[in-house]
Amino acid sequence: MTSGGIRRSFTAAATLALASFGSVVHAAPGPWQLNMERGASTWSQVPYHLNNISLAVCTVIGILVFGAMFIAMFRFRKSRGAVAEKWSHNTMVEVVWTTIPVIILVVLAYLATGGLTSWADTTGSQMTVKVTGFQWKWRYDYVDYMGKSIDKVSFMSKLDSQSNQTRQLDSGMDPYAVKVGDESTYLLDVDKPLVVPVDTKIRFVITSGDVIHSWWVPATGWKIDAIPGIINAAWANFQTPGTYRGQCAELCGQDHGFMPIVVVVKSKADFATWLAGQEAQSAAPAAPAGASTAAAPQSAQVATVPVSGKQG
Amino acid sequence: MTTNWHMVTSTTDVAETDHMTQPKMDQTTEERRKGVRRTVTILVLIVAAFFLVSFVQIVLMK
Amino acid sequence: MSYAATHDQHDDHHGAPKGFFQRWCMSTNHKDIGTLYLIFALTMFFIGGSFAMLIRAELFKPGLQLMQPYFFNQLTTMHALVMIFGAIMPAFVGLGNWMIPLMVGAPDMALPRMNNLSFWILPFAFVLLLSTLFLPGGGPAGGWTMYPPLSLQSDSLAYVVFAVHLMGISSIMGAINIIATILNMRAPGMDLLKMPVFVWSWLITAFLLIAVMPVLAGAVTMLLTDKYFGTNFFNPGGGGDPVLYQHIFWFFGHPEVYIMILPAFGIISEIVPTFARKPIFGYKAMVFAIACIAFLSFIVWAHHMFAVGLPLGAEIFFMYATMLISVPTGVKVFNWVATMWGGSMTFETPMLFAIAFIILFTIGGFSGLMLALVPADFQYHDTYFVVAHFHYVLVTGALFAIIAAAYYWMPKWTGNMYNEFWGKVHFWNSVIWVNVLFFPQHFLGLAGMPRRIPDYNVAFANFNMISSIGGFLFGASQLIFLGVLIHCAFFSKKKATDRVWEGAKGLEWTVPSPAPHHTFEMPPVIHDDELAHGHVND
Repeated sequence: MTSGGIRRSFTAAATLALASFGSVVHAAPGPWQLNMERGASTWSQVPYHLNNISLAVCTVIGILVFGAMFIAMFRFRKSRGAVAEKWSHNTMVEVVWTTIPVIILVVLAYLATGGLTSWADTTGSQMTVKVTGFQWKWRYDYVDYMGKSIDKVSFMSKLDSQSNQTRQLDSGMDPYAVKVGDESTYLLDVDKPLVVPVDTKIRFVITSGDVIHSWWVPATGWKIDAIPGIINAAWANFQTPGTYRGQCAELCGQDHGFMPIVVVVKSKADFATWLAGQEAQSAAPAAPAGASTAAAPQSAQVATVPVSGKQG
Repeated sequence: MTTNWHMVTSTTDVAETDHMTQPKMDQTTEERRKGVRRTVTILVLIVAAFFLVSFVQIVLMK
Repeated sequence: MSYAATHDQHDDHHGAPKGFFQRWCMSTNHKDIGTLYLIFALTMFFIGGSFAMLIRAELFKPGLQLMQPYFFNQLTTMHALVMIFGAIMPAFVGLGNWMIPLMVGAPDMALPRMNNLSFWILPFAFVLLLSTLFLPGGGPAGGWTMYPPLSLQSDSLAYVVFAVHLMGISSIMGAINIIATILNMRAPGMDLLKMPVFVWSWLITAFLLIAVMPVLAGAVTMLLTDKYFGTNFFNPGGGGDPVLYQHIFWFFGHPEVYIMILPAFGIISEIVPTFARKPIFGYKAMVFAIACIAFLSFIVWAHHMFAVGLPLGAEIFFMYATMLISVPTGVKVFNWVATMWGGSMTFETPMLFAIAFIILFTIGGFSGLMLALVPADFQYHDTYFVVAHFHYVLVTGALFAIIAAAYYWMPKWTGNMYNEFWGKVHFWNSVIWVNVLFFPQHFLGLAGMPRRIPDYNVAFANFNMISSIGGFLFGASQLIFLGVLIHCAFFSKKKATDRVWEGAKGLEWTVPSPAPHHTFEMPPVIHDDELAHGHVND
């Protein structure tokens, strides 16, 4: 069992190393995935490249240091008749191995600072979406798009019912059977995904209605905490239409593992159609979808009242 | 076996035993006691200061 | 542990008290209290380990098989609290208690009665903490960091807060005792810069403890008043700020990380020269590096909070400060390698664990450097990459150093040699399975698996199963350790010499094995060539 698993992992590592470290875009995690995904937004390249560069730097240093160690362990064994020397100092060497890491760090810091500065700049965004975390679902409010404010398009997004049934203790259901098309979406699918347009700088303003959550779609390259009483901002500009999956990344109670995030990126034309449909739906007062989305956040807030009551 | 520890201390240096006369020992003990007292006082003050600082930090940052 | 040598000693002043209660519960002897600490730490290690086994069992395959998610959260929280405050820290305090007076030639700790108190608080603290698992509402489930508002939802908050207060008081008293001992009780001639690196590392660690444990106490006290007395320190509804808690917590939490690794550096700096039969390379640099790391630990706390939405300037400052830590840490690793270079090495079990420490801790350091880069951390944060990182520094770092220390000083404590064959069996099992356990977690994190989740997408199934298998076997390997310890203490026929290891240097090896109940009642005379780091003035 064990050796089989290890052997399989070695073969998989060999076959997938190229693919994983290459330029494959993952919309969702894949089995045997070894490296970070490249992501699908303009900025997501930054953490991907930093990850690869720092990993390479660490690997080279590791080979040098551990190599020296293994040579020492081989050459200076008592069993090979090695006699211990007496020296315990070498100022030259010490200066060298303090300076070289500093130089490497300066380079890494330069790269990271540039990437961070571009991340922090949310100006010039063409669309704003407000994200609110609740125990244990997300609420999305569409604030504005292309300079026009959007009226009453908001909904809750929670774990899809198939995953939800399967994940119950002793459900007897197979997590591998939860699929959308060919994709295994167990715990990574929602009833109503966030829909956004491609090629648009989208500003996300993120907060929480109860405890701290963290909104993370790996394809954007970042995660940021949803904190009650605080509004955080970050941006993403998706380059390819598709479905991108993520999860809550800050422990938020019993169902922390069961509040996924799905972002569907549509072409601008498709998005305009979708948005118009949503606006029409919420404008018609009798529409069932509109009623349920309007009611859901209220009930969620009511549910949090005892919590804040306890704190107060 | 039972007296091993005596041997350890006595085998250190014969010449040194002169310094280990009783008044010298008392003096060392007294110095140590004073030193310990001073150290503990300072450390307890540091502990109290850091405890209070965590509250002050809250007030300052609000 | 048995003290055959002292049992048949009839002089009351010099022998250990005979009654069990008198000997162990009323002890003021640094060796007995050290032993108590170590036994306590070992017990907690197995309790915390059993929580880890349950966690790995639930994560063995996708789908929930064993427990409800809320219980899973209790397990992750308790595993961390028990391992950090119950296993790693008391183990280091125990080693410090046992070895610091022996290493500096002091007759005992400076404050022996307080020493007794600081140990005996711990069992009560942990009974309080562990009892919550059996109470209605269950144990704490908000993570060991106890972030509000989530931790305020827990019914067991008061228990946890009081347990943390007790542990904090115990640690503070222990730290005061260690500083007072090192600064005042050294034998004449044992200058500060002649002390073994282990003593230096503990001196600096004790200062960290003194500075940060009160801050933790303050933070959890505010949690308590927020929940029960209507204050609004962290409640946004009342003008408070949940992020402030994180700032205060990590102002404690980051130095805490170094509290758990600096004494390990000290241990490795004792073991490597002994088995390389060569003085430690760059003694002063080693001491200075520890002091540097300790200083830097106070100005990097927010690197645990890169994803809370700090201002850009703060993120850049904390990133640079964090990256800087790798310089003194690198110096330490290079110095250990340089100590081996040109030595005459043998590979007994303590040395094997020390070498594994250097390699695997460095891997943990590498992932730490990667985590310091803020943009990359936006992806790594709160994933299994972080879990892999801190288990590499805490399990193959701190824990391996403690195990190495146990093998290294066991003969001095018990007077018997441990079984070298089974020691090596324990080593190879530990070092192989710990990597099977934690290395795949890097991949899981990079692929996007968040931490603290009881269930996961099927894409993560393969590596989780490998990790769980590694976990079970690593856990089982520690039973070998238990066996070796029990055999060494009670059944081993092979008597240890006073020097124990051919290349061992330092005052602790000048006393008999087992170390008698009282040592250095007369201060020893220090010969510089007896010290592990050779002649300082060279």
